[in-house]
Amino acid sequence: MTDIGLGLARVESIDLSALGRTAIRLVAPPLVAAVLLLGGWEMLSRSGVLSTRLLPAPSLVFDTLVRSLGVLLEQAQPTFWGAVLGILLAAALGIVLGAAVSYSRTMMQAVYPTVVFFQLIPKVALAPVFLLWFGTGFAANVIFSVFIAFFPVVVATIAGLQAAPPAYERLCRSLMMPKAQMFLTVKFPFALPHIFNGLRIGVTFAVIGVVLGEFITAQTGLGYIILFSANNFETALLLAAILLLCGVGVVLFAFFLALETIVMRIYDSR
Amino acid sequence: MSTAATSRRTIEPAFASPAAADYVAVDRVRKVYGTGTRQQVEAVAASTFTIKAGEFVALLGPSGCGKSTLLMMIAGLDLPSEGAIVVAGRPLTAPRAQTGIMFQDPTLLPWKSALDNVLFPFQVASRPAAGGNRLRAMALLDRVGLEGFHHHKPGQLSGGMRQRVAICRALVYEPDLLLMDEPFSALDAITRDEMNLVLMKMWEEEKHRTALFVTHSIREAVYLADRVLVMSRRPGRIVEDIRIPFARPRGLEIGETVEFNRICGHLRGKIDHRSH
Repeated sequence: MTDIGLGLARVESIDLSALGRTAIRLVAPPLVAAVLLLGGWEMLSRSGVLSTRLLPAPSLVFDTLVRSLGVLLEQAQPTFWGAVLGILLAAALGIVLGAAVSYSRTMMQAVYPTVVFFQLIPKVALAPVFLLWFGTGFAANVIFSVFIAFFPVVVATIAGLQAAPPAYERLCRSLMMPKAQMFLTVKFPFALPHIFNGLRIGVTFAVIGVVLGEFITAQTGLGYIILFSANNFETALLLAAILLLCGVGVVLFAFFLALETIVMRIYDSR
Repeated sequence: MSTAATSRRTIEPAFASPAAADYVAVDRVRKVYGTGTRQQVEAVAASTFTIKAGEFVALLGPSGCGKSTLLMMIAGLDLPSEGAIVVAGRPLTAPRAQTGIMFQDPTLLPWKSALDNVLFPFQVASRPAAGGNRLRAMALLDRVGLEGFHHHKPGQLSGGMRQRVAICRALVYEPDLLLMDEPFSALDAITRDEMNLVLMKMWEEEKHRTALFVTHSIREAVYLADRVLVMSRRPGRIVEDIRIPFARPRGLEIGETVEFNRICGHLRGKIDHRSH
């Protein structure tokens, strides 16, 4: 009995120290690099090599962030919710249209060239048109966000729905499975990893879309703060707003990563 | 001289046997791919043969000879360009509920357990899902030697084990016709022998099932089948049709007999002979 207990304890301690070492190896290099970068920047700013107006020290940016946190968080809300709505709508539309296009060869031939064509348009160039169509409100920003985030999702969905090897389609046909059911039970699960890749790109695009909208409409949001502080040479506030914008992106990205982990656990092959 | 005479007597043409009910009748079936005279490729030249109820027929031929195309047409997954196929007295125009099929790839759903993969055919609403399905699926998995692996996913199983699951999936709804398209050709020789034994055992235990097994392995065809059809190189046509005389149940040791090897030699000659 004692022997077994000791054996287990030893195995555990070996595992833990190995785990710790792996963690250090993963975390230490980027941490060291970041500290060096920020430290160097701080030193250059304090010594006066970098003008505070052009590139304020990290400590000043942090100070500004803390002092203006109320305003910044308030302005982060339309940006955050705009991006959330943008990516959710883009995901729904992209997956539905991708599925519709993949459902029949005729649909694919009819719609796919248009999708590719639209994807090639630099969508920023269309922002003023959206302003014209949808005005300057929150809705316009969301619509622009959907428009930008939609393409990576639809393209990934179309690619994913072709991922199931053709033999699976033959199997389903031989079992006399209706096409719609085959789509849901076989093709869609095979497409999921592709769709999640598209969503990851889509999330970053959705944030870009909202911020672009805010740049152009210049009413509210972190995009507006960035534009406003740049015009007033308040570079520290600008950088603080960008920091918060990164936070928005990270939260959204983490949400979809978590969703992916949960869904892929259901469709796990292990 | 005497050997030749014996050979002619034992390698008996299939049509000499007394007529039983034709379960599958392939009548002058031809398959041409592509449109326009220039791009047209004749995959299967006019082929005619029948399979009797309860018979195990192997369709043997070199790769690319159109034997898989022929099987897909009998499965109703592909339509003949010319000619007709009748299965169980009905002209075939689409897949039928009572056909079981195995492909070269096991085509298991990677996210489903072995047991759920075997039960996959019952997801189709038109297939009566009786309460005993689960029990039958589990019994089938046990019979192919997968006891203890019911809840493993395909990624955790070896290639041979995956094809065992595919055999169970093809048999679980008790089809009367079993079509197999080179199901073991991606496996190594030792696993392949094992799989032949497993398939033989399953088929001999489940009576009155008609089977068509497409392969490019002469030994596999002779070991498994009651009858071997040989298909020529593309465009494929049936160039030989012989009965395999070994009694069932068959063990792998019949492969060592002179008779077995003589039949194999005969078939090899038929495959290599180019008829134009």
